[in-house]
Order: sequence, then structure tokens, then C-alpha cells
Amino acid sequence: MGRRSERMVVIVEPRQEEFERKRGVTGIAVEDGLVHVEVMVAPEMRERLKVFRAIADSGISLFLIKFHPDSVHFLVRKEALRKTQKVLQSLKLPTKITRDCALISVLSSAMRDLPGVMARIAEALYEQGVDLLETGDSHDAVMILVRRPDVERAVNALRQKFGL
Amino acid sequence: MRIVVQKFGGTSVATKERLFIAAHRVVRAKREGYAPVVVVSAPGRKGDPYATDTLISLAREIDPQVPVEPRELDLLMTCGEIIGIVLMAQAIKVLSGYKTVALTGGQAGIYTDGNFGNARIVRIDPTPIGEALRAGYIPVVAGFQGVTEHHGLGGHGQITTLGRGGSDTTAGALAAALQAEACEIYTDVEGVMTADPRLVGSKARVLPSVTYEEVSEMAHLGAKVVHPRCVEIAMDYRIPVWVRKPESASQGTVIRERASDLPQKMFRFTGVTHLPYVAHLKVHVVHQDDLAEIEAEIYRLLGEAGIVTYFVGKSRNLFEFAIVRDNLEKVRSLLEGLTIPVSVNRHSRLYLLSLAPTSVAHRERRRMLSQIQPKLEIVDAPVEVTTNCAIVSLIVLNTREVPGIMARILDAFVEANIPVLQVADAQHSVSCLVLEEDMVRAVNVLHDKFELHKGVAERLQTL
Repeated sequence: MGRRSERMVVIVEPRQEEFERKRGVTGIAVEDGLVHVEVMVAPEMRERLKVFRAIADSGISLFLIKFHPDSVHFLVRKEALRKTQKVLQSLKLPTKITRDCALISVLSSAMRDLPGVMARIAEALYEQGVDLLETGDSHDAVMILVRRPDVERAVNALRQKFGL
Repeated sequence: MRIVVQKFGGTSVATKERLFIAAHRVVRAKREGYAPVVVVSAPGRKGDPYATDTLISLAREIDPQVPVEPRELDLLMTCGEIIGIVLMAQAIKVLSGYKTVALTGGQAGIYTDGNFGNARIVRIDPTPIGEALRAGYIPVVAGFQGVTEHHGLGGHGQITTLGRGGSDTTAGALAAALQAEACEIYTDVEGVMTADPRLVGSKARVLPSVTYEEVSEMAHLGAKVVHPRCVEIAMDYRIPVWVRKPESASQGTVIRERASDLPQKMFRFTGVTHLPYVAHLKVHVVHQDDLAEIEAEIYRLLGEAGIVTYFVGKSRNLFEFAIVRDNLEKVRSLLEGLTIPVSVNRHSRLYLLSLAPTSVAHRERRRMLSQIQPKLEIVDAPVEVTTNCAIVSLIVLNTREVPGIMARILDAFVEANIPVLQVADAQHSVSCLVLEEDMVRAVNVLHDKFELHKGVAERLQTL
């Protein structure tokens, strides 16, 4: 699976017991110390560009970026929060900050060949009453953002759901 | 013994002329002191007489209403590669006089699970190929296939196929099992390129060297040069993979580093990929509290129907996802008129989904539901569909280390007046959902903005 991030803790390590990697969900990783930022901004691309340009000029790295009809959402590391807030204040746009978040990555080597993973994740977390703040996906992971205090419950529910 | 695995795609064995060009590559490797192991695909492209799709249609045309058993389909599909190995073995022998032996996947010791149509390799016995090499033969192995070794229904030694990109997978797997010096993938392009030359023309550059992770990301996001499963095996077993054209003198692309092998905080802009034929759906839910339950139910239905979602996301009153457009009709039939009862915080509501919320059919459905369920609040959940979308992705080594990527992407798109419907960032890529009519321009705009025409080494940077 390779290194995912220096800050990411692999809770369930994908194991290779046979010649080829196993299909299906094979691991779970968690990265905490994250802040979810929602910036209310008009849908016009030029307006959104102003936000991203200002943040880029401050050298802040963003991830799990999402466009919504009346806002853009992203994550920053908690060390970058103060700087981010300063930039956003200068733009005079309403923002909502959710501190102390964690990104849980459900890992698979071929997520695109696995229908139903999102359903099982949503079901597992819904059953446990864990609020899913944001979701994202790539070919080797489905990422879900939760509040830090929910991590243990969420990870346990996911481990149970995927038999890990 | 210095083993090299050389894989030739369908076009390399489609004509006598192409076959000899490929055979020449094998002979050259042998003369240079290597022990080549050759992997061959079915001759030709889609539509040609022995191509996989043509073989499948032979069985399906008997009666399109009666599905062909997966086991039988696998038997049929492996015929193309078997033709390919015999032709290649003969061409090498005629060209050089070297001894050759054509082997099916099973004869070559490739054992798989019993998942017909998309089998996974569980074990490779290197003995048959090892013996052939020691006896001075050049083994020519059929790609895309293996055999089961489990007993029971379906039994021992059933022929299986490895799914999409199966011949690349065979090549990577044999290279790993034989501890080969390299795996060479011969294809109809010069190597892994910064973008599809059909879209960006002469601006496309061959990448001399990329990491396994970059090329895997590219392959998953639309580049068709080497299958990600082959890359994955090569990465796990540390086998260098070369991608090149059989007749070309250029070295092509080598994939032999892992991103984690590179010095910390290294990054580069690697390439731009595209994936057309995508549809984007947004489900609007009025009451935020009900969103999670509706979301879970819809994802459950899509999962059960075997539909994979991309670009999943949610906000206060909607959740969204993209699908391959071929699945749109299936999704439409699942969601149109779907009712989802929700009970949250002592509220009971019945959500009624519709992809055409202003239609007469929807209004009629709503009216009938109100009569049947007078005590239940009926709430519309309109589903907004954008049919013609494409995913355009910038491949970046270590995306998350680099500030300002999104700003540069948006800058380029704003300048070119290309709307971005949604974005998704991963460890080595940033993908944008755009309208299909903007796809070619979007690829070009990103290629220019990130100066991908410059050499890849020049683009490797440190934060």
C-alpha cells in the first residue's frame, strides 16, 4: 500500500498472504489533528479562485477539497489554522471551522472494482450514530471525516463491518 | 540466469510484419545474454477475428437472451492468447532458429482462485518455465489466463481469465515469480506520456522515469498504457517495469522507484489524464437531519446493483456522486420514484426521489402517496443529473505536500472559461469533474499551466 502520509497512523495494516494482493477492503488508517473549514462563497469560479489563491499565497496545504453550491470545504492541519483564519478574515467571507477532526481512510488496492463500499461505510457509521462530516474517495481509499471523539467508535464499527 | 519478461499487446501480434518486429525484440534480448520469457495477448484490436470481444460474441450470438456460463466464457476467451503464443513462438523460431515453447497460463504454472472472468493469482509455480529456460527454450506464455488448483465444483485445473489488463498482470506476475531483472511492456506508444497525444498533440512528452505510485494513479485515472494490477505486483516485488514501443530505438519509460524511496518532500507535476463518459448526480434533501439515512439507503441500493461511485461528497442539504455513464439507466431505474421512510427525532417522513421532479408522473406518484399515507409527510428529494461529464486529473507526486495546486488549477480553468463541477484530491492526484465538451481543452489547459512539456527531471522539486 506504500506510505500514505507521515501523519497517518495505520490501524489495520493490509497484509499480503498470497501472491497477489487481496481484493476488498484490506486496511484502515487514521490521521488526526485536522480542521474542517467551510467558506461561504458564491458558486462563480472567479470568486472561488480568490479563496484558493489567497490560501496558496500563504503557503498553506489543503486537502479533501469539495465544492458545494454555496461554499467550498477543505481540511487544513491544525498547525495551519491560525494562518488560515487570518487569510479568510482578510477575504471577509463567512466561515465555519470544526476543530479536532480526524480523517479515516478505508483502504483497498482497487476501490473502483468494489461496489458497495460506500454503502457499508455509511451503514456502519449510521448504526453507531457517528456523524460523517465529509467524504472523499480515490482508487485506493474511501476517506471519511469525523470528529476526533468519534474515531474509536467509527474504527470499531468499520472493522466489524469489513471483518478486519 | 538474467531473466527478462517481455509482454507484447494485441497489435504487436496482429500482422506478420508486426509479429516479426516483436520477435526481433525477443531475439535481441537473447543475443544480449538475457533469458527472455515472452507474454502475448490475443492478436488484434477490438473487433478483429481473434480479439476477446469477438470470441465472446460468438457464444452470445447463439441466443442473446441466454447468458453464457462464466466458466465457458473463460474457456472461450483464452483462445485468442493461445493463437497469439503459437504465432509468436513460430515467428521467433523462424527469425532466429532459437528453440521456443508455447505455454498456456496453466502450463506456465499460474494458479488462480475460481473467480471466472476476474480471477486473482494465488500462486505461481516457477518450475515449468525454469525447466524450459534451463533447456535453452524461449517460453512464450499466454497472457490473461491461469488455472484453478482447488477441488470441488468446477474442480481442479479449470481455466480462468484474469480480467481487464490481464496480459500485463501475467507479465508482472511472472517477472515477480521468476525474480526477473525487468518486465518490459511493449505497446503502441513510446512510453508513459504526460498526456494522451491524441488530445495534446506534439506537446505530450515521454516520461523517462516515474514511480510506481504515479503510474498507478495515471492508470486508474484513465491512462491506458499499463494496467495498474501489473504495476501493483511489480511494486510489491520490486521489479522494474519498462514501457516502450517494439520498433522504437528510444528507451521508453522505466518504473522502478517507490514514492517513499524518494527524499522527503519531493514533488513533481507528472501528467494529465482524462476519463470521459461520466454522469454526476446530486440528491437534494430538505431536512439536514434526514440526510445520513437517505444517503446510506441510496448507497446500499447502488452497491447491491454493482454500481461503483466516484467523487462522493456531501454538504448540508445534498449528497453527490459520479458514476460511469453506462450505468446511468440502471441508476435512473433504481432512483426514479424511490420512496425512503425516515424517522429521526420523532419526525416521520417519506422521501420521494425523482430525476424529473416537475414531471406529470412524479406529481401523480406524489398525489397517490399522499392518499395512501395521509399521516406521513411526503417530501420531495429531487435528483439533479448532469449526463455528459468527464474527469480530468492532474497527476502530482505527493500532492499533499504542495500548497497552491488548487489555486493554479482554478486559475487555468477560469482563464479558459471551463466550469469545474467538483474536485477530488488524492495522495498523488487532483481530479476535476468537467463537462465532457470541455474535456480536451481542460487537458490542454492543465498540460500548459503545469509546463508538462518540460523534462520530467526539471519538474522534480523540493519544498
